[in-house]
Amino acid sequence: MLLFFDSTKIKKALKLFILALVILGVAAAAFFYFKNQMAEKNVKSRRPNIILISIDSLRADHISASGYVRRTTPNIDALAKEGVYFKNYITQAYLTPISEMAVHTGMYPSSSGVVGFDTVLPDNFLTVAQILKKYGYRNAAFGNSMETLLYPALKTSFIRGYDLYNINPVRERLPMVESLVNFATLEPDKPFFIWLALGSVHFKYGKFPENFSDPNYSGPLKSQRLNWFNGVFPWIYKNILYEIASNGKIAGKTSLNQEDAQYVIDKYDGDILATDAWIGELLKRIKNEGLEKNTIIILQSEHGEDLNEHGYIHHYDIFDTMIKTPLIIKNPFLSSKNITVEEQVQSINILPTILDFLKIPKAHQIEGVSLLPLLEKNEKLDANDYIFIERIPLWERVIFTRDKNLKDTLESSWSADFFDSGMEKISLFYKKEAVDLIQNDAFIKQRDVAVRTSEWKLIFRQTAEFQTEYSWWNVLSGEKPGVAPFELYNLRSDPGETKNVIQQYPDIAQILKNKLMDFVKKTDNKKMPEIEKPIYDYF
Amino acid sequence: MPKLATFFAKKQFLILILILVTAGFLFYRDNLRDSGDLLKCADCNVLIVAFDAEQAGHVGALGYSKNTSPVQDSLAKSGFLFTNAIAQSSWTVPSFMSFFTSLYPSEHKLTNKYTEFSQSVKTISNIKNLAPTVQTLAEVFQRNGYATAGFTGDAGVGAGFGYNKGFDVYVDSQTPFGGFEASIPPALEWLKNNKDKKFFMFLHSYSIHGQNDPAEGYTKKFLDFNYAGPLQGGKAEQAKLREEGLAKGKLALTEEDYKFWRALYDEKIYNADKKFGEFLTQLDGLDLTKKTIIIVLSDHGTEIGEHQRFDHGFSLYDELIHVPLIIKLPQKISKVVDNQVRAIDLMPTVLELVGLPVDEKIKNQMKGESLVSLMRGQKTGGRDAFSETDYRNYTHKKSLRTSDGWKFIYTFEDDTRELYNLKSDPGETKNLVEQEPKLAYELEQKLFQYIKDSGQDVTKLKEVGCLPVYGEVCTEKTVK
Repeated sequence: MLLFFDSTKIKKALKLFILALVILGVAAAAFFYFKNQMAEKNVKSRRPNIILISIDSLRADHISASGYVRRTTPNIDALAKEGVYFKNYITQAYLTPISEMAVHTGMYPSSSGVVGFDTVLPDNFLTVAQILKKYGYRNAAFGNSMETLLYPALKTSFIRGYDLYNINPVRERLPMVESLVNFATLEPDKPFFIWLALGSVHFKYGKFPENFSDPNYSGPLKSQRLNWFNGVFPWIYKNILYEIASNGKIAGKTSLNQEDAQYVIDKYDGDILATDAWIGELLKRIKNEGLEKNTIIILQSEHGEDLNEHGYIHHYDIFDTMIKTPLIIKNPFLSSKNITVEEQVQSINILPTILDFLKIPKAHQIEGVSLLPLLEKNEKLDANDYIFIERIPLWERVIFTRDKNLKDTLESSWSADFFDSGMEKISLFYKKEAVDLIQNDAFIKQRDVAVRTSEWKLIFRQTAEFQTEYSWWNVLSGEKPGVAPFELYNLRSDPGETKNVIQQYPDIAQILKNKLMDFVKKTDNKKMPEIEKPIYDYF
Repeated sequence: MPKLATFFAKKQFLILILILVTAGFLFYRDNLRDSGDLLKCADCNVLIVAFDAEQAGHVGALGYSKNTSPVQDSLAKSGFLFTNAIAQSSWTVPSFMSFFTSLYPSEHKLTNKYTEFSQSVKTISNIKNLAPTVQTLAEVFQRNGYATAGFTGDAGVGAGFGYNKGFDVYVDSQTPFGGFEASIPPALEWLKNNKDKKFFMFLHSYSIHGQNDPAEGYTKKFLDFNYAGPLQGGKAEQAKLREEGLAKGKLALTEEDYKFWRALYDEKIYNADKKFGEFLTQLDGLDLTKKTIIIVLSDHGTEIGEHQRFDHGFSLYDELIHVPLIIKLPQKISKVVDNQVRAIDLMPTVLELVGLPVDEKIKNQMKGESLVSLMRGQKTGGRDAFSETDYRNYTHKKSLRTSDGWKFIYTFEDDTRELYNLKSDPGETKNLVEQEPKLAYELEQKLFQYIKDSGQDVTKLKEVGCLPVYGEVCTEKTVK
């Protein structure tokens, strides 16, 4: 006890006590200080950049990664190796802006309301750019998918949330990689979102010098423009090239052969190759700028192209040739690399996946689910078991509402190619009553819808009547083969969707019809006809 | 002296340990300071007293500058006062049922006076048909052997909507919008006959509601200036101003007009409070105070020009959804709880306090959380509060009031969004949706997640039907 009163010992003990207190205090202060600092830093520095590459009109089976006979896409293949490649990506629609809006909003076209080239996205639905802007992203759109520039309703819908909207209307003119990199590196502290709306694969074909076509080809398509409005595509159906006289009557028919069909494919593939080369250049620059590690790259196409499989060279319907496209997701923060996913996924998965990557809450409007569980843990996504595809608006409407909507915007001399539309020729041929009908605003609600599983597709042709009477191809060919209200295809045994097997598989048709009915009910007020109606005589 | 050195080394070590333990204790103090079962009041009676339409901002205990509510204030002082209690709706029919079922209105489904209203069909909403499996607080007491009785001012809380579910006796006022003068006498009568039983009582009054004109008139005792404006007070004027506000969106009244009306409102509160005090005296006289939990609450507030309108139901601003909540236990325990709490928290709280068995079914039903942990002194754990109103043929709104002081309101018929910082702007005058885009976005997602979780169809919310509340004529759409 004596010792306890020894003043030096007490002093020593006191000193130690104070020292301990000080250490504890400093440690606590430092802990809380750094904890806050780290938290703030994490939020700021962890949000990665996003590049969304949308390549218009690129079919799933024409990139070489899919096993295509040609090496059309060495650079896209390389990207697939660094990320996850989805072999069965299904787009929500068959037309560029309609399908792209499903990517931008995570919503079905009929839910977002963007169901035509003259429809505007309602203010209360947000696009990917608008959401990311709230989280401090700098947003830019580059590219030449001209629809999102030339149609006022589409431009006003897509431009939202972008700080820079650099879309040009010339399909041959790909964006300058330099200006893109400049934007990306402008403010290194802030993440960026760049949308590349690439229209360079979209017809007309043969825009770029490098291509696969036979220089000695001398068939009937040789000197023709491989395009729709001012080209030869409206006049090719089921291997016949129709010649139209100045009075609007058919002046002659030329049979096309395998060589002619291949010529078109060669030109198409050539444009894919050129676009792929541009993407290669871009990816190289991203790497060189040191952005690679912090940039998520998503590459998809809004729709494919039918190359004679259903008689035309066009995106005209919702068969797999036109709605199955490539999707590649490369997220450097995930370990998934060089993986190929067979499970079907869809356009409305893109936005929720991006938000999930960035730990941003999912906007309530979004109808798709995030692909992250699939990417991270290979979890099956039940929500993608039944994918819905809308054929809206009908191509006939696009043609005949085009001039009306473009009148104001097409005054400048942006694109001579786009001006010289060949509409006179098409108009001469098409029926006046059909034009009146489809220009009626109520007609925009006319749609066909399909439900797709990994094995089956059921198409409900709400427009069957109109199609029978006024489908462009029926009008052109003078034939009226009739359109059934329901088509069922087995995608495994008949991937080309040529044989309607609804009568052989009534049970499957019924299950799919119920699913489709729910979807139609959710997005439309129209009543579906009974599947049992005896109108399958044509099949 | 090596031995001594070791000894000291040990001492110093002990001191260090002591410091660390103290620090740790301070850190977890909240959790350790559990007052155990001190709050439990097994076999106690429960008396819920509802001051319909009492705005929190006009109650003395909640910071009002005038002495409007001395009885409630003293009860608050000797009990638990919740300074941030949020109602789940801004009008009677949907709101009370949330207190009684621990469900949001769209979950208990009693969201409007009519389920269907057209020329040919007029179906009055009734909880018994709308949500037959939902159990009310009264039912649980009844099942556990309590005598249950309700005495109300009728109207929105009448038996016609199924509010009598679970009550042995449920007496609605003979005159519509009856005050305490209508509900207290039969309640006292019943108490005298049942005071030896365990009981659960709901005592409700419209004394301060806009549709109740006090028989005794006004002395204007709270009017502290010489009012020379055009207003007179009274329920007819109140109805007129309500309709005018709804029609025009904003009333063209002066601050003096509102002050005049607020003075009358204060007097109604004072008089109701006084009657409540007399009732408490009687209760004491029956020797029931020492074994009765007394709960004072309101289903919604009232607007007197805070947003240039009158009455309630049509908005979700704080003057309508911030309500008084006092829980007075027979035990001598008091506390002010500032954490945000909700109407839906009442049912689990009462059940825990009284210690009634809670089966799986009720557990799964209740969306609220017991307040007992907060009453024990837990500081953390404010609760996000959703509120909603589907009012007449006028509007459909839902809101999220966060525990950290933000409010997000979504109006479905026109998709408008409002965001308020309640700390810097308690009057909710400055919409910050544009200034705080990220927060607004995130709160909107939370709100819609709640809507989705409660199984509602958002597209249906956009349809504003015509479901009359005050007998108004519907000209537009008539079927909801």
